[in-house]
Amino acid sequence: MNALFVLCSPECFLTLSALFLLLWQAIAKPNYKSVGILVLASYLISGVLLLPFVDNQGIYWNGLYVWDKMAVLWKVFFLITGFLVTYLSLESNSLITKGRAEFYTLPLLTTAGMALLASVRDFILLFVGLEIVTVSFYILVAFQKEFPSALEAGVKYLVIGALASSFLVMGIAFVFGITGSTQFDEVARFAQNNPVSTPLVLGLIFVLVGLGFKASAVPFHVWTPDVYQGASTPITSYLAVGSKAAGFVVLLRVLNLPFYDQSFQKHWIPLIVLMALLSVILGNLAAIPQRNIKRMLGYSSISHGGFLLMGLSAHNTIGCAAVIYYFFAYLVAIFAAFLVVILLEKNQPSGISIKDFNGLYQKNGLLAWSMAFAMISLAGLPPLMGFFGKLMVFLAAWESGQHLLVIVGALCAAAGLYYYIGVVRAMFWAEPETVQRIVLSPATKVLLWILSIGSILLGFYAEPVIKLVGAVLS
Amino acid sequence: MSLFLSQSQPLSEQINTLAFVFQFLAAILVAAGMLGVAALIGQKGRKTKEKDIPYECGKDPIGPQNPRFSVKFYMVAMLFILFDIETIFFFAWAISYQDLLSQGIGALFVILFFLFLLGVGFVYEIQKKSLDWTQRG
Repeated sequence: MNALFVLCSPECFLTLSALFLLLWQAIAKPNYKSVGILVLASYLISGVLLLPFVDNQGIYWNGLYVWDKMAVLWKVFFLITGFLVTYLSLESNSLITKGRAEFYTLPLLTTAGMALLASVRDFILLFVGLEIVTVSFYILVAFQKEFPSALEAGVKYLVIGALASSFLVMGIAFVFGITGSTQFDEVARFAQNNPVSTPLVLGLIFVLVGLGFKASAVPFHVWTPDVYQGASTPITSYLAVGSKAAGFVVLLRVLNLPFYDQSFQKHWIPLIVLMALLSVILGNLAAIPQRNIKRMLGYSSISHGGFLLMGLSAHNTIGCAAVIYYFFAYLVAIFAAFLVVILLEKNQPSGISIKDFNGLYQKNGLLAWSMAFAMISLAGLPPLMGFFGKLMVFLAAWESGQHLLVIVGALCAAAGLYYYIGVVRAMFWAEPETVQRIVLSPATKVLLWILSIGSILLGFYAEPVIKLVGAVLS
Repeated sequence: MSLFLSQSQPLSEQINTLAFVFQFLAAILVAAGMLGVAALIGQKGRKTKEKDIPYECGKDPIGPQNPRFSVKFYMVAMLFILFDIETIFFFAWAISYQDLLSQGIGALFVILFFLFLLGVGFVYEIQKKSLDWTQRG
């Protein structure tokens, strides 16, 4: 592991650029918008620096850190997420207090934490990475402290997040107490050679509770709607994609290495199935009566967590590949939807309702079509990306024998159509109060085009993408 | 008990599990015991209105009972803890420094980087005037 490799890894580069930007804006007090543009640039540079090391393989620092294809894929995912979040923040700058450039620099550190999580191979590093992500989210959620709703969201997220973290640490303590190690390979080796005792299973369950909070799976989802509604919209999109993905990448790592043994699987598969079942049912049914779009997307995010857990419950390579593909579909759709929400809510900090979408097609066609594609992709209609994501997840779960789960999931997905299509109906068939054209900046237009076309193209060419993901996993 | 003790496990494993069960039982017993025994045999004090008000040298208290603190206090406390924790890391490093040096000069750079991180935090803190008591907020 040479110094160049360390410096070029996204974790290190993003941290250094965040430090530099913090110092620069504290001393030189530049225009806060220029800080945001530099943050965008540092995501791009970090992506370029990643290129020479894509083919690297190895486990470093006494088994603490792993660099493999999957880690690289997730790091790229998190870099894209961070880039889009910063772009969304720049779009919604009217809501950010002037002279608060930390709003742009803090996500750099969050993304660095997520990139670290993509290559954990030790429970201690797992905890550190997860805390980097969670603690910076506590600040980001409550950032608009002028609004009581943001403060409420921040406090709720802090209290429940702290509880979840304590569960995670307790679980790690149990695992360490029984196996004598926190390193994933060591734990896996212990499970192969020794019978799995009750405290070890308790440790597994506690770890699942802590990660279930990040993934907003159902018994641990209570914070989701309120926090999604109260946080400023770019941060909501970050929570929906980045934070959820951080939870799932850790679940993928943990369930596929230290807890992969048969004796563990017979304990965690029923739990994951239960969480998935509850998530799809509650998420889809509770989203139907919601009128606030951010709250609705919050419940929808719970249901998507359920579909993703379905992929995990399959406990095979197809399931894991499905989870990764699903996440890319989710990223494209969620960011398109939230970009439209941000452009519409410019003057309404409390978030907009479905009624505000009335007649959007007459105001701006591109916005309406982008939102429509996002909604249809989230609902899982062919031929968009979301459909193939759902299909893959269902196939994987069906093959591993979770028939009931797949049937319930398909029914809930059908129920979910109702609220996604409700938004589309409002945009195309409802009459607006006033027809006032919305003017978009060229960059935003390009981004909306890319997201819409991406969700169609990657849907049509899903097979090569899924094959690529499968190759990465094996 | 049969949930915890299965015949297939070796004896040492069983003892381990038993210790674990005992730890749980002891924790519950101690907590419940302290409250329970105190409630059972402890003398109940007389409860009067005078006893419930805060003690202020014999005079009745005036004004709000829980005054609002300036958020500055918390800010300073937080910053203090941050820079206090730093010492703990330095201790661990200083103790093993001799051993680490035999593996190369890397150990020095690691702590210098850590110091740099703290330095950035410190400069940021000064520049944002977090320690300036006259500043609002």
